[in-house]
Amino acid sequence: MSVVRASALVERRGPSFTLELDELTIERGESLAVLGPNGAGKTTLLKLLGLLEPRDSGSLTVLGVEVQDDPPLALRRRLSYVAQPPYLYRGRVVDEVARGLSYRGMTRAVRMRRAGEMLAQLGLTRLATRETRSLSGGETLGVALARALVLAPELLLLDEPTAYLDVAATAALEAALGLVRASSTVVFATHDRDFAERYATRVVTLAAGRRSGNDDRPARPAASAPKCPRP
Amino acid sequence: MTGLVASLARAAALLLSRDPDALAAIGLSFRAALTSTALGTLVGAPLGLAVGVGRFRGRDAVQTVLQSLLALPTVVVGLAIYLLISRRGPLGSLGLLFTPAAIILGQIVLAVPVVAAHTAAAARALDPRARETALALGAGPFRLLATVAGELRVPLCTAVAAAFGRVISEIGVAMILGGNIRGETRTMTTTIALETAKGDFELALALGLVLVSVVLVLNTIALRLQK
Repeated sequence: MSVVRASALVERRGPSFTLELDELTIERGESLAVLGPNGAGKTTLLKLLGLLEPRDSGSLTVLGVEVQDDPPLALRRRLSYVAQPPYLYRGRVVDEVARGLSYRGMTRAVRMRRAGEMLAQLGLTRLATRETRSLSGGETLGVALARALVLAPELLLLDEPTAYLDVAATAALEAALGLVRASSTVVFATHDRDFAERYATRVVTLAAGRRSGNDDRPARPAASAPKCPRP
Repeated sequence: MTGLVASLARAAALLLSRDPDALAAIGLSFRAALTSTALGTLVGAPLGLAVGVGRFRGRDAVQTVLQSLLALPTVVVGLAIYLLISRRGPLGSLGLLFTPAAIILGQIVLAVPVVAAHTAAAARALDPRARETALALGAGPFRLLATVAGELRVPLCTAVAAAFGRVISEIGVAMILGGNIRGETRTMTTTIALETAKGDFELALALGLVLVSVVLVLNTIALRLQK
């Protein structure tokens, strides 16, 4: 079953940039890498798929729902997007990881338990009581991944997850990709071809807002899912 | 110069002696300003957030109107509301004219654009990822506004301080809608105007000292918050 089906998708950003995709289909369980240089349209594509920006024209179906100008909350809650660099609100890390759960009306006890478990799965338990604004770039990415994954999204969109990789973030990212691959579909934008070919099952290349000719091809077999740290 | 120093000394002595007229004016001014600022914030903050965070047609026009209302002359607000609540006005039956409630009503009209315009400007200047992240985590409209408001705590406090400063120091609304009735609707600013016209500067200077102190304290708080 297709998680994303887009056709004749057009999104204009200012007078000088337009994203135009004739066709894009993403199947359930895929790990799709969107490759391309800066300004190619990777972030624009991810925000369109993440229902964070309206498109100018074309048709877009996400998780079986035809997307209109104001996508329903229930659909938005089935996917998650991690920005580059990720944005964390002020407060403790564990509360931040639980933020999306609080939006869904879960009790504090449930939120804290699930957030703690997710931090443990990503090897980030030591950060739980830290202030979010005191984290390094890599730690921030790790916490943002935990915050997205705890929601168990059916579609996870990661914008340049390799941009701020340090030791902590690399471990968290690999653990996150391992978790996601088992249960959902992931689309990540990157200009790191090695990373894309290591973790993606398919690579789409963008250049100047369009899919680049023959670059849509199967990548090398995806790296086996790394073992997640146990709590 | 000596005369001014002597007048200031007498004004300070008047305050220390708990002059009933001074205390009544100070009390009413603070009650009216606190009430109107609180109610104005209840309206202005969500309005400013909606304008700053929302994506709707005409958003720039609404923000321009809010910015323009910052410079609205207080006497014009007083006049407009006077026409509404005077005996022949559409709200005349409420009997609000020349009451503290009328002053509060006028001051709310002054406070709302101050809070809304400052909040909207701060929300638009906020990192766009703050809104985007809340949406990506599945926030509904109310949680989205609450989350963004949380990130705007400091500018919101500054906006409230600015609104309080605007309403406690205004005179047009208090004079036109309150009527400057001794012991009932006489505020610090209307008392200053009256006493100055009478050539009796002691009470006017005493209340002037209070007003300047309030403005200084508010600006100090706003500056500290912004650091």
